[in-house]
Amino acid sequence: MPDALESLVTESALRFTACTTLTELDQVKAEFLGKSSPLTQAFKSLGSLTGEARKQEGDRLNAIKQGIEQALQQRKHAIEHALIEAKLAQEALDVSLPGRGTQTQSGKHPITQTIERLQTLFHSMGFITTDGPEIEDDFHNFTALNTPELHPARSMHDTFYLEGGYLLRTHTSPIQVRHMETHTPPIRIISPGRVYRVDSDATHSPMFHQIEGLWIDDSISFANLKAMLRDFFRVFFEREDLPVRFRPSFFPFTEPSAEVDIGCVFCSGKGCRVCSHSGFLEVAGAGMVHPNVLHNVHINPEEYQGFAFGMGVERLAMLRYNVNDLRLFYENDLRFLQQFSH
Amino acid sequence: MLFSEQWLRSLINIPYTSNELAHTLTMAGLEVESRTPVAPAFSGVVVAKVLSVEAHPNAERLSVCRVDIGQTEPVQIVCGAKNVCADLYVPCATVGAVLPGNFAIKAAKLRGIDSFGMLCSAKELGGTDEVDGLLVLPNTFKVGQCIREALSLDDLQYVLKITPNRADCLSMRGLCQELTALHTSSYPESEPLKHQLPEIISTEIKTQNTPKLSVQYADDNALTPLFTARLIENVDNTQPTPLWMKQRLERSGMRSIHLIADITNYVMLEQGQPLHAYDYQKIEGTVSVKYATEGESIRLLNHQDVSLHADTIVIADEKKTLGLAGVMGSEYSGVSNTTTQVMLESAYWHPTSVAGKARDYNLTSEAAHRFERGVDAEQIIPALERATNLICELAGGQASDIITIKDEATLPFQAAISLRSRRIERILGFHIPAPTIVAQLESLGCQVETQNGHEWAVIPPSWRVDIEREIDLIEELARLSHYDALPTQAPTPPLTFLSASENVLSLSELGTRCVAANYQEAISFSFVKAEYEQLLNPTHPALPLLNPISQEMGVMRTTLWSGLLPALQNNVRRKIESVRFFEIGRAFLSIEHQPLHLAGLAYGLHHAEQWGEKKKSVDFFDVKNDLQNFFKGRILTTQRLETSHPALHPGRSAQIMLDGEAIGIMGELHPQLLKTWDLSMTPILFEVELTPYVMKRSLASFRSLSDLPSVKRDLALIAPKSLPAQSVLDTVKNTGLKYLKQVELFDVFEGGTLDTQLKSLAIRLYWQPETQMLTDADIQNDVQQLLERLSCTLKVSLRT
Repeated sequence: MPDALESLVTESALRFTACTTLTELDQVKAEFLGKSSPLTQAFKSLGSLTGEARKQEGDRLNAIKQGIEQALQQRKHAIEHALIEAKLAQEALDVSLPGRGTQTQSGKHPITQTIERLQTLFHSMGFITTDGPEIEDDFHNFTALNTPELHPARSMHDTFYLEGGYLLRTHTSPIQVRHMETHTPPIRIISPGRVYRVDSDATHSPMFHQIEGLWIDDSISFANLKAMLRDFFRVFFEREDLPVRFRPSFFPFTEPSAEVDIGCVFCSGKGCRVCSHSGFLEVAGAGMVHPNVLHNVHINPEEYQGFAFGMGVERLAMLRYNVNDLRLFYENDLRFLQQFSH
Repeated sequence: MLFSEQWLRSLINIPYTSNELAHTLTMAGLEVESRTPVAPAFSGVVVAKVLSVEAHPNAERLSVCRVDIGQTEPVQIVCGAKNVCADLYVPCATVGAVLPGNFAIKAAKLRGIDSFGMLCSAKELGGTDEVDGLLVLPNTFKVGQCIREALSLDDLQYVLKITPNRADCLSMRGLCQELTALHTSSYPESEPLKHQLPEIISTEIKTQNTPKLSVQYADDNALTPLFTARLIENVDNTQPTPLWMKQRLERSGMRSIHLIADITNYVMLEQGQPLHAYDYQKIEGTVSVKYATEGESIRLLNHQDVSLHADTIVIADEKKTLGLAGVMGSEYSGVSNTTTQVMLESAYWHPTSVAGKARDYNLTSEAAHRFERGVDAEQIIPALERATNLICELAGGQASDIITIKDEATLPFQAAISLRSRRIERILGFHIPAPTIVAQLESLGCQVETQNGHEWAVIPPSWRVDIEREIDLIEELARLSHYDALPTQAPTPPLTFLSASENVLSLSELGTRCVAANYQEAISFSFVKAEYEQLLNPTHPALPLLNPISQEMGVMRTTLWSGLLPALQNNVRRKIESVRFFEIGRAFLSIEHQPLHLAGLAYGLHHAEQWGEKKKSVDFFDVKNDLQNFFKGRILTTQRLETSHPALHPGRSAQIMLDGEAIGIMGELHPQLLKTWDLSMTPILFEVELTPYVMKRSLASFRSLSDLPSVKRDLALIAPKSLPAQSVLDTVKNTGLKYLKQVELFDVFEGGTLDTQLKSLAIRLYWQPETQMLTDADIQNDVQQLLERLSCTLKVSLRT
């Protein structure tokens, strides 16, 4: 009899292992541990024993019970684990499917991106952004900028006219005039915006963008202008050793006037098609504000002086982003624009 | 300006290579735009003399020539040109020559006859001359000489970009003066450059007919401060222009016309002073300088008829107008091959009296180009003499005295300019030693008088008409010191903070929000097709451009839609199914009102077709939601337009309201306009004027967070179908319930068992108590209040 009870441990273990569900396991459990199971019966008969014999028999039965329960727990865990595994396997996704919803391919226009970058750089140097009207009068676009009527320099600008002598600004310089009319030095501004010239071919657009800079104080010099523009171009193109060169030029509203060239960013100055094999690219016009301009806006040129510069935004964007056709900027072709959305 | 490097080198001993010369000019502000060889590469071509020509025995069109190529024995050459004849001087490609296009010349048999070389046409040597036959050379050429040398073909044509201030550099004389100054400033220790412009000889007067020519001011002495003329009789203008002159003219971009015209042009290029020659036999009586009669008509030398304005100065005789002063002569009085008597004019015209005239009359004039920039008043008579020398030498003839009318008072003169070293240093930001200042100015031809160690009185040379003020001299000093070599100095202003208001939405942030809603930024032209403006904004006339590039860009936009819709069309044409654009830019409502607008459109699929989402077209409410996101933090609503917009669907368009104020419009494009832009689906458009009100942003202000649970309650309401849903929401919000924090409309239902005049609206209400829990009774009380209010103001009731 005692031997038969001892074998229950092995027997139950075999039976539990054969179970595949928790319900089945419960049924089998009742056979070994239930009220009518031989083990429970054996416990009940403990009452007939006393003393040392009772203790010994009790210990023996408990050991058997523990063995059975241990086997039961092991199997229970195994079944539960298998169930979870099956559920997880069932729930698996094709993680390679595309994400749901709209892929945002939109971005700001590359011209806007360039202007915003320029603003960030110049704001860090203490310049503030100002704006002005695009339909201008002759005074602000030309006369105040030392370009009276009949001045040969006017033929440098092919101007769009409207009725009443108004015109579309040919450059962003009238913004500096308007700012100086209403502010006193020190003045440090940049003015990005649309400008217009009667010119339309592969390399000219009737509308394009410029950014104008102006710094007026008591001793802002040509040496300061050179230093600032040189540093600007090096930062803008992220090339510390970028050659920046200044050449004499002529603008009615600055003197001394300069054209600013940078070493060609495509061939590193070796000479290529883009730079017409000169190794340099013209990127800005600049100079010391002409005393007549200061005079026209009631600033005493003996007291204050400073520099102005202007750059073509399209030009900078083309050089920076390798765009080879100016006209792409205004065609609003999504295939073009979306290339700048990252 | 165009010029020939060889011509320049013949006038001045510049010790530079061609590259150095170009660099020197460019870095001095005379930008070399291009340098082009005047002839392509070829070799082995010499000057040859045809000794005899015989018919080819086997070919009708060929001849067999014996040709002297400067070697001991003449060579035999078979030639197909029609103009070949004995004694002709022509270029000959000898055996071993390589012509343009890598065409090698070898000894050959042509139809059985040996030929040792090839006689050449201009075209075969890479010229553009379309003349048939061999290039005929002057018989003064030396037989056997290399043709490149004989025709100076190893020359470069320069294109200089001369800025409007540098009128002095529009001639060889000016370039020589400039190079001299540049060289002296760069190499003060070296021997100064010398230029060898041709000597000008005062003409020996052989004709006594001076009284025949008389000149007068007709209106006003100020018309011209100096007008000179002379008569040259018995000229032979059938004489050919010498090859050297022709070549220099051509390499300077001018066409050879006839000898006398060529001489006047040549002198202009050489000396900088434009001249004009008249056929004296066409002139009747006294020549006068006067204003034109308004509306008088004249046919000019370029065969163009112009109607003159009364502010134009003309040269006239007693009967008719002979030409426009400083611009162009008349066709009638012009010199031709048969002219034998020439009146040669050299005058100083004020820049202001010539400026803009050529443009006004739509003419291109080299003379006006120079006069309006300012010529050297001291070169008027020397230039006249130089042209006289050349005419008498090349066309024969006898010259008269020079007739002059002069108004000393208006003659330009160079006043002394005061120059301060302190000013130089302040403008340029560095110190230039006084001796350098004086030396540099003197190299330019200035007369410098030292007032003290740091101030000078400077008289610029007569040809530098651009130097008028101290700043002009400072620029010259910077230029001669080489801009690139000037010191740099980082500016050191006092450091101050820039203001950065949080109460304003920046354009950049607004753009970022549009991009976040998947709108691509567009930039379209400010000028658009008038027809589009008429369709999209008929009640607001667009400002027309007086000189548009094309009718497609004829008027200033009053709505950004007139640029965005064509942009949409272009993309739809490329089969793009989903387009969302926005643009921030000005609308031009009037001269005084050019406000910034934000406009946009959404078209086609709401999102690209995808496995995980239902396909759906973008609609009004998608765009409304986008707008609400653009202006998040403020209350954006839409309401029916009081009068429908002509470009929008009358039932699917609305006024955009921001915090209760109208800021713009939105809606579906009117179905009738879809075909204008070939659209198969309907774009939803919006446009907002970016006033300070619209760009206002309120500063965030913290409200304490409640630990009490919020309460949510849904209500199903029945409302008249015509009632805008917004009024239900507004009424709920305006009832004034203290703890009711939020109301959402989550369902709209029409039809089914509902009366056709009614609709069902489901709203969700949120209460947030602050200090103590809300009881069921509190909520019930609030709901009751709401229902009463809705019922009496809007006839909205609880759905039962």
